[in-house]
Amino acid sequence: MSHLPKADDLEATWAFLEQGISQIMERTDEGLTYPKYMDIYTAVYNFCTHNKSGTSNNIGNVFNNQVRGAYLMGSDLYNNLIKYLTGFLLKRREIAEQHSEESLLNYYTKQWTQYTTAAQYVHHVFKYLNRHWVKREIDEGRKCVYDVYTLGLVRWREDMFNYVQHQVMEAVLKMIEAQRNGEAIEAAFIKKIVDSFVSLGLDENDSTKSTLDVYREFFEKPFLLATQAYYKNESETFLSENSVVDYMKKAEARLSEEEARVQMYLHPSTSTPLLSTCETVLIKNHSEPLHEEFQGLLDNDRQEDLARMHGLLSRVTDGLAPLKVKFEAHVRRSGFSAIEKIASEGEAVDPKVYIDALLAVHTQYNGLVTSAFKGEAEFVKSLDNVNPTPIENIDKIGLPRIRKSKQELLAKYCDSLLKKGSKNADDDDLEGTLTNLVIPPSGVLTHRQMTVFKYVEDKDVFQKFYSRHLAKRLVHSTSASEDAESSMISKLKEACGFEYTNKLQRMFQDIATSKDLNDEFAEKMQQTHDPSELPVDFNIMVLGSGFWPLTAPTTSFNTPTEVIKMYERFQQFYGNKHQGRKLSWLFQHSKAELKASYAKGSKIGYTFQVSTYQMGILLAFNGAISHTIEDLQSLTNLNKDTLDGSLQILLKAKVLLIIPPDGIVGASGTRYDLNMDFKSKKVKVNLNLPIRSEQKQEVEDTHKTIEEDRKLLMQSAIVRIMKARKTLKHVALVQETLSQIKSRFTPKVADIKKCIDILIEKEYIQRVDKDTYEYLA
Amino acid sequence: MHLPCTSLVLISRLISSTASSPLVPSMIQTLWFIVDADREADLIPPDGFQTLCQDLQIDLETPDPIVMSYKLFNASDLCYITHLEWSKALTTNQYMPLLHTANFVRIDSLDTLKNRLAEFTTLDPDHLGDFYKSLFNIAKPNNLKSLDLETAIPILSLLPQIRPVPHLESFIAFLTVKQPVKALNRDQWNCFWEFSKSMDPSFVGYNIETSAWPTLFDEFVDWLKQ
Repeated sequence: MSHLPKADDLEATWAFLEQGISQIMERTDEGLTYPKYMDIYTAVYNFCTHNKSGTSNNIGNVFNNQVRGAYLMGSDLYNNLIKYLTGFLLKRREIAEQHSEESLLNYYTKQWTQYTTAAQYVHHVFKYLNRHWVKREIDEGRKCVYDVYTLGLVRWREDMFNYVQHQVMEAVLKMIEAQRNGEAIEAAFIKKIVDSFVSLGLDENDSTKSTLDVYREFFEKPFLLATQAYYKNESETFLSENSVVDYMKKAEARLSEEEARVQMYLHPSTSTPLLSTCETVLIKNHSEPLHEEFQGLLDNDRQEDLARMHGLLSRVTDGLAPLKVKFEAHVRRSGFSAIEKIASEGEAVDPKVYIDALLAVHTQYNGLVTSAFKGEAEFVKSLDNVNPTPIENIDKIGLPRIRKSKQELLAKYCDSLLKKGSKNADDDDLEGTLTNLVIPPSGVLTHRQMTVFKYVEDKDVFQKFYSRHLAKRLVHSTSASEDAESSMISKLKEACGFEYTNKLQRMFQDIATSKDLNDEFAEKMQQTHDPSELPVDFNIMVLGSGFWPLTAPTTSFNTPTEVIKMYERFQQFYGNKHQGRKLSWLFQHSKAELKASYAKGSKIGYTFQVSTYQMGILLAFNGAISHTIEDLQSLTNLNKDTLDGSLQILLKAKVLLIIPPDGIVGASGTRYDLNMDFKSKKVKVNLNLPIRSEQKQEVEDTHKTIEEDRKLLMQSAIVRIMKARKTLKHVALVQETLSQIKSRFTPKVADIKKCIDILIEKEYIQRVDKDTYEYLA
Repeated sequence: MHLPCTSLVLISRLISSTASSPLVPSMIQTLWFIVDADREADLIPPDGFQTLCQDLQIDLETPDPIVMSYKLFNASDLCYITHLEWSKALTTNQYMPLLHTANFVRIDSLDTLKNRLAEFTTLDPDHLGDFYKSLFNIAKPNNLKSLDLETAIPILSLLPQIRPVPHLESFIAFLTVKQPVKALNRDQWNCFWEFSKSMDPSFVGYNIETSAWPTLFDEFVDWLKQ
């Protein structure tokens, strides 16, 4: 081993090593012969261990020298290595500084590759130093000692990177800009630069780990800044020269381009900050023109562009909020104009046309929400929120012709579907229509989709009208199908819960019970009475007053002698059966059939289908064929309105004749004669027609009862809340009341306040401070 | 010197002529007989109250009679003084030094009398709010829960003589012209005082939607803005 330097001669050793290292560093691609590699490794080994091997010469100093010597020797080599690397890099740096732009990148990346490869070799030949001296230094906590490879990186960072990174980055950014401008670039350079920057992120505390600090600070930061500037400039210029629609396409393309850029040559961690930068510059900063464009797109139904806009704005926070508001307003307007069209067509609004128009509007926008807005819950909600035709708004926008609320129309529409003789004879079709009205069709995407019933926000109003119509159908047996009825009820139940349909269901029960009751009563009568004592067919419905939207008659009425026995018998029968129950007779909802055999025109006579009141009037003519208005009044005991209204129909049908013929119905001094010459093509004559004033009254009553019910509902909610909370601020109380009542109807704040006022006056609560209430037990 | 032969002067003469000892029950009783009391009902009825005020030279067109009712007699009804209120006022009422012989100032002229009277027809500003609130009880009939406008408006109209009351004039106009209610309930009555104090002249920041004031005030502000 004579060609190796002497182990204790530092200068000779280093000279030997330097020659080898520079062979590695400078001519890396030539490689190193194995013997050469072994020589260098051995020289390092020898140097680091020379005191150990020379123990026989220096017995006295063994201990000391062994420890201190290894330390000193290692550090000398290490320091020399640093010096060498610094010198090496200085030369390279000087060359680098002569390059610029792409050639600089070329040079830098080439040098980097070579340098790191070489550093690996050097790391290996200094393995002994790494394993012992370096390890001990690190163990002892020395900060600035690294293994040889890491040392190489540190030197690169200190002696090369710190000087040239600025120019390098400039070149990189120029390239990226060129690429953004559509030029082809050598992306591999950038990839390599990125990798080198990442590699330089050394963790000072643990050399085996790396951080992204260097990359973040020297690459990502300037890159993001450049990106921001570039797109700020581009987007502003583009928008000033092009339409918003084109801009959206551009922005969309740019965003996907940047996403691809990350894949292509950036560190994956850059993805999030890069996209958020781009989103801010490209979308957020221009959200105003985008929002402005939204209406135009809606108006022209540009689904594709709407989808694009939704896609873009959904990427930034709060980007969609203004869209939701506008969308809601737009759908509302569409609803208005649809209704406007209907209203302009005529005085009477056909509920079917009305509902169909609403359904059409809904279908259109539901489609839009699904396709363009990705069925996003928030937009579905906006659609749900839309309240296209509140009655007061219709009045405001100058459409006074539709006086009916949509709840009323919807209820009426349901009635027309469920009533006998409706056009929707086809059962399947009917089922489908009802479903469409109430329950969302069960598609996966559209499962939150709403239908007309959801448009109806004050569901209590609908319920009132619906129950009125239902009551009529049940009382007059005009319901087309029991199945359809119960299917409707179960749909309503599904949509609004058990409580909502409770009363409706009870109504069906009452009808069923009444059937049994009638049978029982008829049987009983046959047992106890001779058939001659039962001249009248009798059928009754006993309905629970709490469940039926029926009110006591507004007029008094003398039960005619012909039927009074039956009336009393049933009264007694029922009284025995259910003690303590009180029967109120709702004559205004009752009807009768009268056989008339007096008419000269017919041999078999006629059957008049009449209301109870008409029956009372007509039966009076059994006693005499002519009565004054006063006679009729005292015989029937009906109030003037009812009497006049009933007479009107009888006169119109020419069952009765008024004397004088031009007399005003109900005026004093008029007489009413039975028309002996009455003629009709039909044997059965239906005279039981609704009196006009009654109908109007009914709607008014319904609205009135709704108002009353609501007041009670709000008051009881307030009392409940106050009872639980004892004291509460005004605003909180209003809020809680709102949220409790919401499912039934949307109360106005002013109405809640009125209820609070009432409760203060009734001393359920009191004001303890300007805006605080206290519950009074 | 000529003194009008009024009941109070009689009272003062009576007291000054008797003793320098505190007022004794019999004395109060005597005074009760001097004033124009309804013996059967055991109270001073409105016309007696009026006479009393006239005797004391308290102007009926001012708030003074009401303030006196409140301050001197702690009366529960407007223009009525019960026997109990009367004797309490004369024996224990802190504002009643006039008839306490310990503090007795010899009333030898109408001026001295009137000077003393000024004490219980003026109100400490701190007591104004309480006074205002008690007006509702004093003024409304016992069997009712609210104060009809016919009584409420004249009483409200007297208030500015005690202290300026912002918005009072327009509020009264609102009640008279619009007639939103027939009577004021306790809450509305009580709140008006606070309302008047806390509202700026043009109701800036008054939000009808969110205000906690009784609805009546919302309507009032709405009415004013129109």
